[in-house]
Amino acid sequence: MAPAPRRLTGETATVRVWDGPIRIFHWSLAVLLPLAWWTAQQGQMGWHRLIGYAIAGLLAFRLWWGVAGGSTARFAGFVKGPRTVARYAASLFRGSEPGPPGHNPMGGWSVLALLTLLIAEVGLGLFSVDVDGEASGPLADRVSFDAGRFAAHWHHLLFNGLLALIGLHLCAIAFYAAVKRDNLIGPMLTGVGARGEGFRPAARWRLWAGLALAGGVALALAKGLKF
Amino acid sequence: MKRFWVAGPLCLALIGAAYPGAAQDVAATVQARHAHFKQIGVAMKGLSEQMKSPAPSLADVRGYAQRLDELAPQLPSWFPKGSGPESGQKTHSKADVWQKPDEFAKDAAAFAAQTHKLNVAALSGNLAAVAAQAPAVSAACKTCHQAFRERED
Repeated sequence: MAPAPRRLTGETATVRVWDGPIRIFHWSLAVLLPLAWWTAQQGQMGWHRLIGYAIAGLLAFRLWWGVAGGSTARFAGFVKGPRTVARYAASLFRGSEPGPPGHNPMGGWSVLALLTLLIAEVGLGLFSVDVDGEASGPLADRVSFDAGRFAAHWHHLLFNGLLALIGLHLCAIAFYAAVKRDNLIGPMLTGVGARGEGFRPAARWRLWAGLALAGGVALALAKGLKF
Repeated sequence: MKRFWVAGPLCLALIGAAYPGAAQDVAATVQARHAHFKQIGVAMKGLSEQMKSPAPSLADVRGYAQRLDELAPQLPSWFPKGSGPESGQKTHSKADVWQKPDEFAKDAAAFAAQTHKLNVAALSGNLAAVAAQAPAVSAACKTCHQAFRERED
């Protein structure tokens, strides 16, 4: 039995890497996505819709947090150009040089890809119509039966894309644990890691603004944008 | 021997001519079936939207209910023998439609009975009665789909 992965240098994990909202966002998705899949499989469309609204709210929050949140949450901080990504990719198997705290240059693009796919997935779900023409997304009344079926079809196909990205995400975590001896799960749970400096938290009002936005988006969609 | 040389190629030519014709017929059957179910879907979607609306239009509700009541009894005729998955056509119909004809007929009859009740409710003009009957129609769709329609995933 191999020992649990830990930093070889023996540093203690005391440096803040992730703020609370980003961790709650992450673990909420980790719970809600399997639930969304499960409820759809079971034909529990009432619950599936509710979960969809919650995910839509989370995504709205994440977009806001990407421009207003703590420093490791910000798109400007973790979305890097192709040269930086290539350099980082080349260094992956070389030495045990620790990457930057927060999203690394490859992971940053993985985050963007996941967010894009999730937004598309929720967007398609809003217009989806089931085969009986009965259960449907909250905006399906704005489109024809054919368009609603088309949305449902892609809602379905895109989920496989999401699964692929989530699989890649899990493989990357396993790779960092096994090869780089870097525990990525711990910091996502506790918010603190072994390295990283200069984390700048966001002002409290930005959190309230983000929560209001998330709640507003979820409620507005649940009401089918009819007020 | 001479007769063979006449009859053989003639027979082959006939088969050759008939075969694509038969395939085309099956394709047309499957397409028509798909189009008919789409009409049911359109009516169901329209009906469900009217019933969710704060001010449903009785005229629209009646139109959808009547359309469903017209279509539902025709349903078994959209499934002639040979138009199942064994035909090679793209279809979500399971082979069970033809292998368990009694059960299929029972589900189809239940759907027709529920849509007829829906139409009667719509004709009475009582929207509450329509709202009360609509779930039974959806349930009839689902029952049959679960048994006889391939899931899309």
